[in-house]
Amino acid sequence: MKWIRWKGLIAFIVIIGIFAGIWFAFADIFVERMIEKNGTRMNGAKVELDGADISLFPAGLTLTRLQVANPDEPMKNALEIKSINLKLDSLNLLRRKVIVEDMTVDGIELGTPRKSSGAIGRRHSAVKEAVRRTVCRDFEFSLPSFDVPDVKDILSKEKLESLEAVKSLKSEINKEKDRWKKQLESLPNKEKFEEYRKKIEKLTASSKGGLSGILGSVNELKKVQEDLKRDLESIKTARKGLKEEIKSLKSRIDKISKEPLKDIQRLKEKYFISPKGLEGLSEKLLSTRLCAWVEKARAWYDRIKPVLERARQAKEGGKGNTKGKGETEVIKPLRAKGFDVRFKEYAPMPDFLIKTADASANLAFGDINGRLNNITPDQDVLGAPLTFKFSGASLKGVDSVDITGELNHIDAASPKDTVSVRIGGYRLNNITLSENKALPLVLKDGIANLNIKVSLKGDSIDSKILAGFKSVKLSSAIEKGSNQLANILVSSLSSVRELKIRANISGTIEKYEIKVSSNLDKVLKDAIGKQVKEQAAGFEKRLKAQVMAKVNGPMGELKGNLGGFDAIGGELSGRLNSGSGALNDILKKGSKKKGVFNGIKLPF
Amino acid sequence: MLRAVAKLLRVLNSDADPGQISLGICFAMVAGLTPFLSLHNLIVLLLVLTLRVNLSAFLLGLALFSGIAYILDPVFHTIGLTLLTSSLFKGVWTLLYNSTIWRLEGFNNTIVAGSLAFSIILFIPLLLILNLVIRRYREHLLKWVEKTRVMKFFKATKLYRTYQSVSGWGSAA
Repeated sequence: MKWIRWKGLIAFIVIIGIFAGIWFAFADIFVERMIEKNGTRMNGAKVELDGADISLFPAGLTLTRLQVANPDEPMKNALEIKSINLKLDSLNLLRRKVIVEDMTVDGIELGTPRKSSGAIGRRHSAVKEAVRRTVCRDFEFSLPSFDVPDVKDILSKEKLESLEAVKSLKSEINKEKDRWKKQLESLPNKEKFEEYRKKIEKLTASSKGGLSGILGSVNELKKVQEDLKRDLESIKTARKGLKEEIKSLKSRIDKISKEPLKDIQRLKEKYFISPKGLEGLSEKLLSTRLCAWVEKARAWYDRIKPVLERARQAKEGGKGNTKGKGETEVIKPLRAKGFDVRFKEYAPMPDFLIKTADASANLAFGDINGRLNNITPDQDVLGAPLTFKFSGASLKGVDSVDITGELNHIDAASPKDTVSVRIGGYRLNNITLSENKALPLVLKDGIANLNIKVSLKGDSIDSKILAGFKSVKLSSAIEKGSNQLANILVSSLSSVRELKIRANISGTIEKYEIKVSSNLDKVLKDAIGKQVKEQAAGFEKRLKAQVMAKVNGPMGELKGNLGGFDAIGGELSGRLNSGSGALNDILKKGSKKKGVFNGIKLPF
Repeated sequence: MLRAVAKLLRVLNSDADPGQISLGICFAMVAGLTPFLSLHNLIVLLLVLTLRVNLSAFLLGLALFSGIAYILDPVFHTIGLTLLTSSLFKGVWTLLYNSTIWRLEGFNNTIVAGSLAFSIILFIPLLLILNLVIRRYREHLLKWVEKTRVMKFFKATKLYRTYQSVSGWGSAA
C-alpha cells in the first residue's frame, strides 16, 4: 500500500490558495472593521473609515478618510483625516509586532460636521461632562453690591467680636480679683506681724535672768526672725505675681481696645465693595473659562492615557495574576484565547510602534505640519518617550504656531508629560472669556501672543499660561437691572486696549488650583476706586461711630475693673511694711545683745 | 448526530486500513484540540492530504475534538501556563520566543502550548489503541453490527446510499 497521496499535495496547494485568496479579498474589510471597533471602544464615540487597503510588497496599509466622532458633540468629528499611509516592517509583522517604519497623515481637520450622530449610546461622556461642570462651578462667583447698606441694620444682625472679647475679659478679671482676695486672706496680715513684735518684746525682757536666760532668748529671737523672714518672702512673691497679673491684663485690655477697628474693617469688607475686594477679579472672571479648557484637555488626556500606560496596567495586572495564580480560579478561557506569556527578547521591540509619523493638519487658519516620534504603548520596552513637534507660519489670522511636547512613560510608575504651545499674532474674534452671569465678557477683537507650558508629573499638574493681547475690544452684555458695580466695570472694560493675562494651574489632575493675574485687575480697581472711595469713607465713618458707641461703655468698665487690683496691691504693700518694721525691731534688739557678748559671735 | 454515527459505522465497516483510520483520527485530535488557525495545523493539513489517511475519519474526528476542546480549554490553559512558566524550560522558550517562525506559531499562548503538548503526548498512544480497537471491532463485532436492526435501517436510508456513493475518495484511499 502506498502511503503518499500526490493528489493531496495539489489539494493542499489549492486549499491554501483559496484561503490566501479569501484572506486577501477580505483582509481590507477585516482591518477596517478592526480599526473601527477598537477605535470606537477607545474613543467612546464612533470611529469610522471609508476604506483600508493592504499592500503586501512592500508591506503597507493605506487608510482613507478616518472620522473620529466627538463624544461630547456627536454630530461633529473631533478629528477627520483624509488619508493615512503606513509602511510596515514585514518581518516583525510575522513576529506579531506591528512596527510602522513611517507613517504619513494627510489632511487632518478638526471639528468637521457629521452626517449622522457619532454617539454609541454610552452615557460615560455625559457623566464626565457633569463631573466637569461640578468642578468648574467652584470658580463661579457673583459681584458684590455697590449699594451703601444701612449701618443700624448691619449692627442689628452682626455680632461684634470686640464686644464679645470685652465681656470675656471682664469676666476673667472678676474671677482673678476673687482669686487674689482669697489669696490675700491666706497671707500673713498686720495682726500677725504685731504678734511677732510682742513676741520680740517679751523675749528681750526675759533675757535679763543670767547667762542661760540670755542664750535661750537669743535662740528664740533667731527662730522668730526666720519665721518673719519667711512670711515677708511669701508677701513679696504674691506682690510680684500681682504686678505681673496687672501688667498682663493691661496688655490684653490694650489689645482689645484695637478690636473695634477690626470689626469695622470686617463689616466694611463684608457689606461694602472696596478696592481691595476687587483684587483678583480677573481670576474670578477667567477661572471658569480656563477650568473648562483644562477639563477638555483632561478628557482627551484620559482617552490617550490607557494607551500610554499599558506597561503600568500590565504591571498592575501582573500583580493580580501572581496572586491569582494560586488563589483565583480561571473560570473558562474563551476558545483559542488564554494568556500570552512573554519571554526576554534578545532585541526587544514593542508590540506596536510607529517610529515616525508626519502629519499635516488643515486647520481653519491654514496648514500646520508636524512630526511625531515613537508612538507606542510599550515605552518601557522601547526606552524612548513619545515626542512631537508641530509648526506653522504665515497662516490666515495667525503669524506662527509652535507646539512641542514629550510624553514620557518609560518609567510607568512616574510618568512625565510636557507640552509647550507658542502662538504668535493670533487674531481673535468673538472669543468668550467669561460666561459668568454677573459679568459676561467677550473678546470682540484682539491680537494674541500665547505661551502655554503644561507639565504633568504623575498626577501633579503644573501649568503656566502667558497671554498678551493687543488692539483689544472687550464687550459685555450684562442683563438690564444689573447692579451699579457691573455697569461701572463694563464701561471701564470698553476702554481696555491691551490685556495681559498670567495664569498658573497647579495641584493634581483631580483637584487643581487656578491662579490668574491680569492688568484687568488694575483697570477695574482704578475704574471703581474713586467712586468707591467717597462712599466707603462715609460708610466707614458711620460704621465706626456706631461700633464705638456700642463698645466704648463696656471698654470703660473693663478698664475701671482693673482698679480693684490697686487696693489688693496696697494691702500687700502695707503688710510688707508692717513685717519689715518687725524685722528691724529684731535686728535692733539683737545689736544690743551683741554689746553684752563682746568678742562672742552671735548668730545674727 | 445520526449522520455522525452513520459516518462512523461506514468508516469502520469499510475496507480501509485501520492505520489510515486511526492516523486520521489522531491528526484530527491535534487539529481539533489546538486552536484551528495555528501554524502547526497547516502542517497537519498537509500531512492529512498527502499521507494516505482516511479523510472521513479525519473530518469526523475534527468535529468531535473541536467540541471536546471547548470543554478542555481550561485544562489546556493550566497545562500551558505550567509549561511556559516552568524554570526548567525557560531557556528553550526564550530561544523559541526569539525565533520568527515560533512567534508566528504563537507557542507562548497558554492554550496553544497546553493543547499542543496534550495532543502530541496522546498521539502515539491513541494511534496504537485505535488500531487495536478497530481490529478487534472488525474481528468480533462487525458481523453482529451488520445484522442489527439499527444498521439495517441505516443501510436502507437514502442518506446512507448517498453517502456510500460519494465517499469513495476518502475511504478508497
